Amino acid sequence: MERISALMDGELDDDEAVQEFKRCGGDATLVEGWATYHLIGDVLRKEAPLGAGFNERLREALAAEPTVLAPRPRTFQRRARLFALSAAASVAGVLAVGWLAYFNQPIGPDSTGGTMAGKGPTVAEADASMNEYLVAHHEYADTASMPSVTPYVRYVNEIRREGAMSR
Amino acid sequence: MGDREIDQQLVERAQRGDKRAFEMLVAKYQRKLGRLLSRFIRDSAEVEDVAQEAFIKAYRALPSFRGDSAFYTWLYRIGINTAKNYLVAMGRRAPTTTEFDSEEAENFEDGDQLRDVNTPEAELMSKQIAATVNETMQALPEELRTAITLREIEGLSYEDIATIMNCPIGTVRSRIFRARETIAERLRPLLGTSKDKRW
Repeated sequence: MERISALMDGELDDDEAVQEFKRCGGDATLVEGWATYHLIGDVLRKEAPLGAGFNERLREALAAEPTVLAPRPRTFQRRARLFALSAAASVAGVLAVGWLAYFNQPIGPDSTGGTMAGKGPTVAEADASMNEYLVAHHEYADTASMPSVTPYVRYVNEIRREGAMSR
Repeated sequence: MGDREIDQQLVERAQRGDKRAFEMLVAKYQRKLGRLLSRFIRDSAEVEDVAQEAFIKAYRALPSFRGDSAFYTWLYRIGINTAKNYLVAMGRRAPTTTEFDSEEAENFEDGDQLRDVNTPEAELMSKQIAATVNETMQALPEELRTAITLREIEGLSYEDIATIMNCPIGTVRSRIFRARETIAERLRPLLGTSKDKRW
């Protein structure tokens, strides 16, 4: 009860005050103490108490009222919206990267992705006339952004296969 | 946590469905609101009716309270409007806006006299409460009486009281609590511990 006394004087720090309010929610004696201490202060300041039964009547009237459930403050809604947007952007980014990685993965003769074989044109099926150009320029490509050597190997294999067939 | 922040905490808890938090606001402000209303409604029973209606209106309007003003300023406006509507409905003259400008709400004072707003039975109860508080105050050890007087009547902080009384802040906190609790013990039989007749 001493903390209730300090709370009503504004002498608890924020965390203590929040804890005390939580305790009040589950302990009627604390609320009764709060009410009595306020009454004492008001009487000392010559404030006239309201008539007997006022609180009882008001409690009954309040009990008959539908419980108020106010919407969260706008700042919370704005934060929630920002969070949702950033989360959606992150998910979209992950999906985009996943999509690109999935459909750009190399398909070679030893590839285990058998189900992918028939799904549209692959790089190997691209215009064969571009192979020499690609091989010539692949050495200068930024390997850091695509470290795999598989495409290079595939292009070379393709050229060799074409050479063997022409012979 | 200061007074305004305490009210804001209670309002937010009430806005989340905690009716007990709103009851704590009622306990804190009912006499101040009653004193305000008694400035232009003379009958004590009518004052209580209008005060109750104002609190219920405030409770219903809680979702619209955003904390732009202090809770009591907001309650004051609701109280004034409720009183105006009541007086108009009763065919009596309602106060003009200049008579009760909301800017004076937070510093509203109405003299030092204990205003009689009660019926004879309730008036007797009020006198008993006042007598019990004052008698117990006089019987308190001096250090407790000084501490609670500096707090409740002079409105000083614990730090200021500690300086005046030349003691640690923790001692001030303890003295004020012991003073309140001693008076409360004497009041509880009057108030009724199981079902309060008044706060």
